[in-house]
Amino acid sequence: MTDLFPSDASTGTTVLTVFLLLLVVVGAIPVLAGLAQFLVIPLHAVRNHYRETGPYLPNVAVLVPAWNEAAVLTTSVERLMGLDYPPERLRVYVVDDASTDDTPEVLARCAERFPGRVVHLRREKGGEGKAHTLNHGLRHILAEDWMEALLIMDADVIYEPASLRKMTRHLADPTVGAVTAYIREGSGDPQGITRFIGFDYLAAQAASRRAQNVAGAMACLAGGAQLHSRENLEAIGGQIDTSSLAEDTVTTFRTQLAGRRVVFEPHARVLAEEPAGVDALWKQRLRWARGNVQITSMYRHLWFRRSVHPGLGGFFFGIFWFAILLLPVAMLLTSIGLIGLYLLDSRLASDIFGAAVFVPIATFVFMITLTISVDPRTGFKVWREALLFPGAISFVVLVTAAFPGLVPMSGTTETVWTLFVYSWLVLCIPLAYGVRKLEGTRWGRPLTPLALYLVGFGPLMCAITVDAYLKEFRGAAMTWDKTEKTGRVTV
Amino acid sequence: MSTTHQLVGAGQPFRISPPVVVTEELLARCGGLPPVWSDPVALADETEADRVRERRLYVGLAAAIAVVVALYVVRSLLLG
Repeated sequence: MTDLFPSDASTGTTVLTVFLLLLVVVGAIPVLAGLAQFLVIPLHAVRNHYRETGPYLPNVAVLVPAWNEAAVLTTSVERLMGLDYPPERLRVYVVDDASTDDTPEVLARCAERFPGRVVHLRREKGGEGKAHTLNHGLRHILAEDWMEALLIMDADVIYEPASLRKMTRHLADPTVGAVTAYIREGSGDPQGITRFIGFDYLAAQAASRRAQNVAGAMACLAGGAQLHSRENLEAIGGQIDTSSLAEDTVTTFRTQLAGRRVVFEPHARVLAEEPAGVDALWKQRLRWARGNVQITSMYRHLWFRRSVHPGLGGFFFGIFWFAILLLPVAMLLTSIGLIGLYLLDSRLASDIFGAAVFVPIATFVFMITLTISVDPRTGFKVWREALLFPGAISFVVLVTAAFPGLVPMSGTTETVWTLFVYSWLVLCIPLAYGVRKLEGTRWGRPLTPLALYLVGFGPLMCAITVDAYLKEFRGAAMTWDKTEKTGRVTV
Repeated sequence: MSTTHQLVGAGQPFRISPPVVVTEELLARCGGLPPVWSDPVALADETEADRVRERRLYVGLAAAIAVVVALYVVRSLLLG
């Protein structure tokens, strides 16, 4: 083992070594935050909201924003009408955001088939974004006394029959303001990117939101499945925020800051259609990532201040939030730290890397195993994408780091390989951007899936986060790029 | 929640909904069997089943720990 601070080292070298080591340690915070979050998940077996539920079946108004959703609306409405819920207590309000396709005709047919239970609300001026569309419907619904709970969903999502009543049972507790469900990627035959999204949702929803239930602070109600009590909607102003791209997160924060709980119900399952191409996914996730950057600034008085809110202002939630938001920065710091240490003292860098590398590897393995176990049916379908989530190249890097000496190297080859390993954490981000660009080229169709598996879905998400930083910094226009829906979700 | 952050609604009675009346027509549409939502006891059983199902998280935890330990052992053996 190399002496960390040899006696003959100058003060400058020692200070630089400490600084570079500090970069590596700071860069490792997201890994430790992820591990902490996943260690909390099993506590959901005892620390959950089930004992405080009741057989509560309120009048539910389902609010569906729709812009050119003719392809999916009939199936969605039929599924809603077929929900295992008292029929006279369920009404569907579809807000047609000045659609230019057959949406009005499709809705007219639905209203005819289910008289009094499907309501068509038309906006003549559309294209202002989802929040404006929702607010149009909210004004109409809140003007009547009938609604006791409001379910906000997307036109393309499909609820499993028992899902709604599994959500309403939590509203029996008057301290609960809103409930969200487990959204799953719903393609019947997921391929390539949709398989990655399948695993992503498994980790980010089924697993992570259980941890947030335990911690008592929810980051975001899923846009396609959020059930609010009438009292909660009125308490937060009866309107959805229109000032940011993350209106779901703002609603979630407002609910909790107004003193009500937000609960995740993992057994209420909802299937959603997700983008099948990198560019479409990029636009969707960029909107989410920019929204998160905006929220971070909007609620800057909240972070790490338990006096403002014990859950959202808590240390656990703050670390969890910033670990995701600043992941690309952490990767950059780790890379700079390791390369700097290598240039300063290659042996020292190698020793530190060798000693510490098992932590992220063990965390990665722990996280994917636990994630797959929370929903084995979905998990076993996408286990390859779980392993290749950081990309095939990263996977090889991790294997060689876990088992040094597996491929004997020396001299220049070893130097080049080591520098590649240390810099890959950053290199993968521009390469992920390249994957998006590749999709638009002549060879994009056959090569993009291969490139995505090589570079990885995780780096793609980091690249999108970097794009979000840049767009927010430049003050780029907030455009609402709607994800094209084809109706391929199957139960 | 701390005492300085009293939840809105704490101490209030639980929300209840009026009993559901299952008509002959509705029963016929449900294949002759009363739906789960028409019976508060069945709803409570459903919730209890979901609560118990959450214990599977322990199995997941055990599996995850086992995989990490196995990886560590293999690595230790290979690295001598």
